[in-house]
Amino acid sequence: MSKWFKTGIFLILIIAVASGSAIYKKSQRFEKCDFDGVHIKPIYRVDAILKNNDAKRFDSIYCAYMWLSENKEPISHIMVRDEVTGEKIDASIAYYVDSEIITNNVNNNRVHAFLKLEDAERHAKSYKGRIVKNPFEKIFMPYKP
Amino acid sequence: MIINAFTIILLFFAVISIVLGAVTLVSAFLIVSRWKRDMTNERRTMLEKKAYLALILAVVLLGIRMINWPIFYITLGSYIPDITGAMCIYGVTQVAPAIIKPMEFLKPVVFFLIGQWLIIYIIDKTAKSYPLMKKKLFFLLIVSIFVIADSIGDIAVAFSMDPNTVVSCCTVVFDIADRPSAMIPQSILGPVYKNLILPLYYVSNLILIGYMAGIYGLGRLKVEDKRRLFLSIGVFLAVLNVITVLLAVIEVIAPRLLNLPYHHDPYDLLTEMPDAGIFFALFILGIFSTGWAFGIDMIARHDETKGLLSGYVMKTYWFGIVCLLGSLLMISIHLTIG
Repeated sequence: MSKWFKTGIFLILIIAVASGSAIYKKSQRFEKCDFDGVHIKPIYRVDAILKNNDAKRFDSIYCAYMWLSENKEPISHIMVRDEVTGEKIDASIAYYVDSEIITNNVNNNRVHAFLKLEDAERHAKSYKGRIVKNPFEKIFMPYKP
Repeated sequence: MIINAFTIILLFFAVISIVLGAVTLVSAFLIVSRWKRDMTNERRTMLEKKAYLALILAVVLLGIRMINWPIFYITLGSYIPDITGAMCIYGVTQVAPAIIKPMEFLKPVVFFLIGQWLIIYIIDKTAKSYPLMKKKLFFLLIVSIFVIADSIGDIAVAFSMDPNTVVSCCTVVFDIADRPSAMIPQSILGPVYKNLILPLYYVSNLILIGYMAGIYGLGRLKVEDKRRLFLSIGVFLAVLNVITVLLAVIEVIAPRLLNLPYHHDPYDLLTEMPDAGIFFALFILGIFSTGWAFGIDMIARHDETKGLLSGYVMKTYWFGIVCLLGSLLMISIHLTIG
């Protein structure tokens, strides 16, 4: 076998492996955080809705905060999940608690979102927490048309 | 310590390597110290016979150490679920950075030295009267020291893995705005650096491959006089290419291949892409080939190897061209399909 033939076979194999791998990767449709790639637990999900109606999804408030503080794409609004009901709520009306419960082992996020103040207080009391300000307040001013 | 199948394999290879490495080191030292330029033919034959066993041992040992590099990363990857905060191999490296970081630099050096020694070994075996025996044994002495250090390092890594350690996510290093891989090109190329990095990646790779193919095809490697100059230019281009590829992988390729535009961790490719190990391995082999070819010309020059050297240099270059081309093709396919 000439070296050209061997090289040709090798490169064809390489193309086959890379194509197979790329197609396999594309077929994986896990919900992953747009910031750190971790699988998203629905109860802790945060969505940043862009002005062009695209959405960025995150696995925690920490990741959403980090992404928002770095990127310059215009944001329309941010949606968090009420940890009691799983309901989508606008981040500006949620109550936030910093407690000892970690929502994500990767980034140690301890900030939790609630729709009702009494739920937030109950969580804070149960898990040595305290109610904190909206973490997105400093970095994101809601879009006003 | 976290015990799983990979830890056992890593430790098994490390212990075997230390034992074989120590035997090889002592044998090589004894033979080199007895080797005299003006010794009789009988004495030389006797030493060569003694060296035979040491060399067989060395080939086995070095073969084991060459496959140890990927095993090291597979083992680190297997610890991810056991370490709080670790999302990828980077997180695992943070459990004992004082040990793992130097090991990450030592592994490629050991791999390069082993590859170089094996090529010299093959050239010497091909020649009629083992003209490179002393050089080969002296080089083996040095390689053995590196191999033993590498093996001890593997054991230290395995024992330093404390599952109770809490580490930070890779995002705090790779995804911060002032990461060096973003700041350096930004300061040189301006804010549009991201648009330029991918074209630069292709230009740099194609220049290196083109240069290697050019001097290979034009027969420049056959001419002994200027070969070293051409080979050193190849090494220089390879070093430049490594820098460009590193920047491109962190800044553009990893985010695109992972489908995470703001995540720049190249370690994630190893756990997320099924064939990442192959395209990284091909790239490393391609780059090392330029160094190995240069090393052949530096170390294996001898009257008796004159006719052989150009053949081996050319084979090494061809191997490098194919590997670099393979790596480039694989990444291009991922960028296109992904």
